Amino acid sequence: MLEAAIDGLTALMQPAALGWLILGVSLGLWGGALPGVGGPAQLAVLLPFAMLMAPVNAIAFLIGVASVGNTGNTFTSVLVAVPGGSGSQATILDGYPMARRGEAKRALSASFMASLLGGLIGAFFLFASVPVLKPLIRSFGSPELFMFTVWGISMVGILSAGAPIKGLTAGIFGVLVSTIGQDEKSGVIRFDVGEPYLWNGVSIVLISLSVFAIPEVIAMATRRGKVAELTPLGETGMWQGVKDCFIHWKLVVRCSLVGVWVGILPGLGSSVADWFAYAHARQTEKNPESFGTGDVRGVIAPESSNNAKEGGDLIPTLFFGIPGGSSAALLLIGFVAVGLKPGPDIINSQLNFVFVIIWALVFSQVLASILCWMFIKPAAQICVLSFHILVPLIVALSLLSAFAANFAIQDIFTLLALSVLGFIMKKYGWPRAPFVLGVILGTKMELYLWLSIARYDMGWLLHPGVVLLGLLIFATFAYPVWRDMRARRAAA
Amino acid sequence: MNGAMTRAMSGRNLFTLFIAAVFIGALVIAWDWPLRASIIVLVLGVCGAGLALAQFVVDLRKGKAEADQPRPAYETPDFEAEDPRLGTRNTWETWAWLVGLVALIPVLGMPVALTAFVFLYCKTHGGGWLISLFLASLVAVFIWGVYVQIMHVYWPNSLLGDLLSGWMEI
Repeated sequence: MLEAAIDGLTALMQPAALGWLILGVSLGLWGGALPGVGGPAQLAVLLPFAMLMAPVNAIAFLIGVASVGNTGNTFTSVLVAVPGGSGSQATILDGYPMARRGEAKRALSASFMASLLGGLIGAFFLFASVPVLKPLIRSFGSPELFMFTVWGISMVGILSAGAPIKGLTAGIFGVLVSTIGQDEKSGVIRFDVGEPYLWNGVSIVLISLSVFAIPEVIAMATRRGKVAELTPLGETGMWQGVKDCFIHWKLVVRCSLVGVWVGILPGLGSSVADWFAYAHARQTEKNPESFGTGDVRGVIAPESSNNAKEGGDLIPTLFFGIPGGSSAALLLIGFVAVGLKPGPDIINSQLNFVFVIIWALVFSQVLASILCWMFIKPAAQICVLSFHILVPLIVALSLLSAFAANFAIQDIFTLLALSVLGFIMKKYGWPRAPFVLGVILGTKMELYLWLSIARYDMGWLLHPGVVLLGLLIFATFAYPVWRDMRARRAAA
Repeated sequence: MNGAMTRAMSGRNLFTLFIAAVFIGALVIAWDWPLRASIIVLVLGVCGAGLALAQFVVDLRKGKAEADQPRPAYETPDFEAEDPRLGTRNTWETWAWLVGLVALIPVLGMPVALTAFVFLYCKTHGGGWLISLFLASLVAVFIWGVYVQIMHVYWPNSLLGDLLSGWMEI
């Protein structure tokens, strides 16, 4: 394991990989600072470019983009009271009042430090999970893996949406879309509507672009104008913000653990991590009445949690091939495209790549915080860029990305058609993450199901792991029902 | 009765019915396939259609205001214009730009169409000459640098490209 860790570090220290990491971190911060641009939308646009890189460069670039969005989106939360992404909503509650009081620099600085520490704790847990999970994963067969895919989609569908039926339906719809094209087991061509173009299925790149990037662009073009007016940064408070994190180091550690746990559970994203951590801080800290009025602990708690979540998120993504949310799902696509095998195999055959990912996560967090501290003034201006600059650039990049998927002009038309679906899903509150996750896991799900039947007939249903996971799936379904019933009873 | 009918025919409910119809359609199509190819589609079709119809009933019972309530936790902040009518107009206008761009690609070729789109969109939405030209040049240089120089991409034929090559031959 130590050898793999050193190999991973050496590979990442190559000039090309470091260059891609720096570019990825810069883009991730930039996207994070722009509401509606960062996160899955940005990853979807950049994914096809990463797919053409060497594996280590692609990992460095993608991890750089994906892991620092929550650091970048603090700018808008603190300075304009608009969440840059779903992971920085709770930061507004105390960050914005601090900025109004002239303590914007202190709030931002505390947030960067908390993000850095949280990110490092998350990376440490990812590192520590390797020896723990190795023997466990070796005992898994296709039945357990099939149940894991079902559990992943159920969790993401039910818990991510606030509308469980829609979430679950969207996940199943995604799996159905993944069946388009030639079935390798039987040779049957499924749902091709007479078009040879569809024999290889629909590219996941097109789906992610149309579901995440284009609807966000349309939303941005619909609203128009700047996001909001910028609150002045103030002159002092940078060091105070750093000191605040060390004064409240126990809070940082506790909230980071909350973030790691949320990341490990499929279906609970950044938005849940920051609110959980914020609620935890309010419940456990002294003088909770000052929360919401500009208390620096209200900034430290969500920011350490949402960055720690990135490390936790990668545990199921890498070792079980089950991404916890949309960004992890897109990362998974990128990893598979450059030759990685996320799932139980990776721990045995590609451990050095796992360590490249862990090191990339560590360096991304450090680099992001340094860049934010160094360029705090120009970075603050980014969040008020106007739509007439962003919309055409993102559209152009999205179309180029779509074309780069297969270098076929049909992909552009498919992107447009699928964008209508993505737009309607966003408009009517259909969760898009389970849909994309369904498309990604659909092929695996079908393969594991067939392998299980071929090897064990129906006996696989009685495997202890399958029964345990079956109970977990049942609990996933039953919990929201039980919660609603309890709430109704309490209301009555 | 009229109100209930209007509610049932709202965009939200029609989309839910569309999803249910897709699942039912998949079931019908997969019925004749060998079991190896059809089993997962049959399971998904039954579950998906059932859930979509259940969602339709739930939305009908909730009414519009309540059905608008849940916002998926993963979703990024929803940007809607302050004036809903203006928002609708802006949305349609953006779709028109997208469709126009996609239609323009076979005519002008991808590099030219994208560069022209960036310039025109920026210029007509409040960007000055300088910023519009700068952004268009940025895209042109990006396409040339990444797609032409590094990736050596073969661009699909376009009407403009065919015309130009025709003239060159003459």
